[in-house]
Amino acid sequence: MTEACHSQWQYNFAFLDENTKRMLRRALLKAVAIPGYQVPFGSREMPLPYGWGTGGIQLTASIIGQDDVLKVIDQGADDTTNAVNIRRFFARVTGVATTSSTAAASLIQSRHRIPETPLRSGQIMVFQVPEPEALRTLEASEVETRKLHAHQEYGLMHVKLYEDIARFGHIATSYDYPVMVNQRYLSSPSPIPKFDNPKLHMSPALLLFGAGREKRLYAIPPHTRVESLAFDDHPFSVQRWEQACALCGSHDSYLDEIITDDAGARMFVCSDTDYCQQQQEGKA
Amino acid sequence: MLLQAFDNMVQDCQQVFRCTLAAMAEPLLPRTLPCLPPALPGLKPATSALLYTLIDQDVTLWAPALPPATLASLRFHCALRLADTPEQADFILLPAGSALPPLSSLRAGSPEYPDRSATVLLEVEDFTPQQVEASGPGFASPRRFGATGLPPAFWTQWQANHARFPLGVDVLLISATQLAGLPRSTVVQEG
Repeated sequence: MTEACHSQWQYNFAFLDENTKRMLRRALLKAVAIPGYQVPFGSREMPLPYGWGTGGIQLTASIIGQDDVLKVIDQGADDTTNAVNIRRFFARVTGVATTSSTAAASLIQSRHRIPETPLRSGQIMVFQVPEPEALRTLEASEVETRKLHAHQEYGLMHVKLYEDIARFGHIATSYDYPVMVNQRYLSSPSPIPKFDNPKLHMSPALLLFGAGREKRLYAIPPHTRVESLAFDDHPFSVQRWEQACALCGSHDSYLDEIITDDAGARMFVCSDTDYCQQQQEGKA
Repeated sequence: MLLQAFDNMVQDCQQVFRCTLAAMAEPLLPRTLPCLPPALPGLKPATSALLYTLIDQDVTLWAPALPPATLASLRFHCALRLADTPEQADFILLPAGSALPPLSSLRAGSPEYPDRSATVLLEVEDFTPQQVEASGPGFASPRRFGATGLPPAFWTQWQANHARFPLGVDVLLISATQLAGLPRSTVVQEG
């Protein structure tokens, strides 16, 4: 299969050339050694535009091997455009097995969700990140944000969260909710819902983050402390729904609200399609 | 004389890198490399595997005098560039028994860019438990670790290196066929 795809497409295994892979691999080792710190890398032009997961794709391309089983999700779903295309891309340029099952995957590339099925030791998650700098909306200058990280000066972010409380009575940030990694670096968890933030803490899996346009990558090693920022009198909390999933009946998963007709009828279903299917099969 | 590298550079380097990534993600947990090239004279087979995987023309390596065949092979397979002094190098290669340059003298990065720091490839004889207790990112619970053939006072130097976090150097400890990662985030207590 692999040999066939080489001769047919004339691409190197996993698309990237070996020099680029080595550059990414050295950067990844530094990222793992400094949890939450953004390592610059030379982002390459990929066969799809920035904003479609080029950072995640480059990370996946630099770590994937013939024995890997790849799962790709987009907002929890295995069958949406971004996920289908990235999965097909890697099937073509590597010949690796792909799956939609979280448990069966060794490598999971994700756009903005962490699967509901708990990750296990040995798995690697690759997140597609649009803006790796958690402070960017508060400070436009990269020179300045580098200094803020160097001095661990994160008052700006606390003020932002406090202004949320002053204005709305609660912290209104519901996705891309800032986290402190290993009690040192303020990091963006990528635009995952804050519902998924607790899964970052002491995760048994290695978590890698890649931003192609911004040319940054960072990592959260397994079993690393990850705290969502909060205040003593306004502790961190995740979204809850009164409804259960309309398809599988789960009360524990992250739900999407779907409008079903022009009259405004709606239903709530699991965002994680693999988890929803497992729950349905478990009941049948 | 040129020595053969991996049979299949692309796949074998990927396998070795994944093992290295796992070793850095879960420090001080020795892992056996999945594939080894023929050993370069003066180096352990696992060290050769790591050099083929990590070194190219974009980085510099410092090492004490290496046999000519080893240097020639590394120049051919990795486009090796040697650094004049350990203080300038991206990678420091220390074959078994060679003197350890003071860790504090190596590139440790800057406060804004702590990743611009050295990685030390340090050969040891073997991994034996019960020298130190280590914890930090990558440790579900504290782990005991030890290695024979470490330079004297290595762990004392390591504690000073960790104290500079996020600055510092990272170390890969290498035996004949195994590898253990020691990133700067790892806290080590002797005894």
